[in-house]
Amino acid sequence: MSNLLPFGIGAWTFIVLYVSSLLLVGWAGRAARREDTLQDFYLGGRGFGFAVLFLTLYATQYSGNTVFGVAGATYRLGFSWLIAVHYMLAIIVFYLAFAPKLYGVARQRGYVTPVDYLKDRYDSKHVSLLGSIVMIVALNNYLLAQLMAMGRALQGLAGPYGDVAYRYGVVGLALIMLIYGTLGGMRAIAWTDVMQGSVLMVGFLVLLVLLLNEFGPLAAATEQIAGSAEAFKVTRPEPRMLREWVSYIIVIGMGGALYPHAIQRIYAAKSRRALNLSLATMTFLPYLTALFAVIAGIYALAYVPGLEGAETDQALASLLRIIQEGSLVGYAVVVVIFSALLAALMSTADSAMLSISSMFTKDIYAVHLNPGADESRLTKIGKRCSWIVVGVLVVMAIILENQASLIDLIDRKFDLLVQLVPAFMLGIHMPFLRGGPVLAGLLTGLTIALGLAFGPFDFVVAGKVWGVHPGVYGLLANTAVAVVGSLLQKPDARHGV
Amino acid sequence: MMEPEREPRRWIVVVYLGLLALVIPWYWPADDMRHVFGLPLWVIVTLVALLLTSTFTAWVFLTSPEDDTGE
Repeated sequence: MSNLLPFGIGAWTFIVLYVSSLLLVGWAGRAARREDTLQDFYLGGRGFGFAVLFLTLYATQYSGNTVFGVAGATYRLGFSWLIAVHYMLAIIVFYLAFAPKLYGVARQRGYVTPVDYLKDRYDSKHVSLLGSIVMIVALNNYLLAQLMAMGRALQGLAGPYGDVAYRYGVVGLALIMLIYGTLGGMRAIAWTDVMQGSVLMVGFLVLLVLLLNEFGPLAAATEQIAGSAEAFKVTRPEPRMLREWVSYIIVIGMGGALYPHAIQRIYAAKSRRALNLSLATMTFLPYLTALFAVIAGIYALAYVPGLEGAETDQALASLLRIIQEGSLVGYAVVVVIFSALLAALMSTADSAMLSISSMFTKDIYAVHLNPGADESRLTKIGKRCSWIVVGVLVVMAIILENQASLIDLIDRKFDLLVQLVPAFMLGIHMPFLRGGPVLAGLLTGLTIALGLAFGPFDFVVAGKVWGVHPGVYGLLANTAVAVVGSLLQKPDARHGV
Repeated sequence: MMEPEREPRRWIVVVYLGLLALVIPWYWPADDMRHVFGLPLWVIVTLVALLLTSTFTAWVFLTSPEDDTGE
């Protein structure tokens, strides 16, 4: 947001009041606590009906990346980045492959973390431990990206004091998130998500109205681009981009469906009806969010030409500055949109934080470090874990200030998460899958995905091989090893565990 | 250890593959410059196909079994 005009005292008062109200919600979440158990703290007592479940899924799924990153990528790639609308929808489609079934099993067996499913399904400490590590690493990456985006959001509003504002932004917003998150756990976070999701939805609607009002119809912006040197950005994507399209659907569609914090929201549903209704509604949300961000990117491409490299992630902020300068109403509305962006960042970050804490506590501490700990003790450990993890990531966010484009950060995380597809999505449908081959497949997939992503290979261009993410190659090998390995096991071994 | 059960309605996968082929604009000529309502034609068709995918997905969720204990 470094292109915005600095906010005045009125705007800051509004934002401070909004952010402070999250603390009240956190306190209310604590007051509503029914018991001192992991299920109550991490799943809100499994009592989320449609409204809370839908808004917490929405606020969690749509992050700062959706807002800043999608508009920026559209600026660089043009209409081809409708890919973003497709991959956000693909996440919901891939839920169909396992979420309704997992919900039933989780309820019967009392799962709290995603890894509880792996433990129960494969009866293998190694699959569970590797699954925990993959999920925790991917979520840490995600949480770090959100913290950096929080700092960047405030950085641009402080004029010459931008660097100081970045640090205060990261530390201050992380602190607020930690307070309400550790006060009321999942219940507080889901309730703040109701607020944040509502603000986010209003913010996106207002954004579209503002863009139309300020810049005229989208058709005019498209004509403007078609008549410029960027005309290729309105034509059909090149073959390489078409391959990337399929690759993004697989990597983000499947990887996003396996976000640990999203899986825990599936567990937290009050009923299967509430879950199905929430997910059915979520299928239409990409048009209200990702598509609006694509449209903003197109407007920026047409009317704010000349942004390059990491600057393109400021495409949306550049548009907002024009609106902000236009009138007092425009200025006020930009403040609301800015609050919505903070809501998107905080609601995603707090959910990732709670999920990391739950997995460290239940899947690592309670299994490997202190097997005898009771639930009250584990809940306390989980809270301390949140503070330590966020503390370390805040320091990293400050050290790594302005290091990478947001899209680069999310690509690697999904390369990891997608390797859990055989264990979850296939495992729930294929009774013959066994722990040993699933573990071997997971190791194979991770080795290939990380080797291609970070190895010194000339054939890896822009982090992809032939336009396809390393994670997809890893997933193919991973799936082959898991399935063929399980089929080759003796029938006694396949059915005897 | 729990054992997973088999899921019916596999034809849904076939419908999704058809929708995927419709959404991704591989079938348009590379130099196609036709516009409808001021937008590239391929963009309009992709958006319509995406909406069909959303509607189909919502239908699948809403017609799924709703008992909390069974599969």
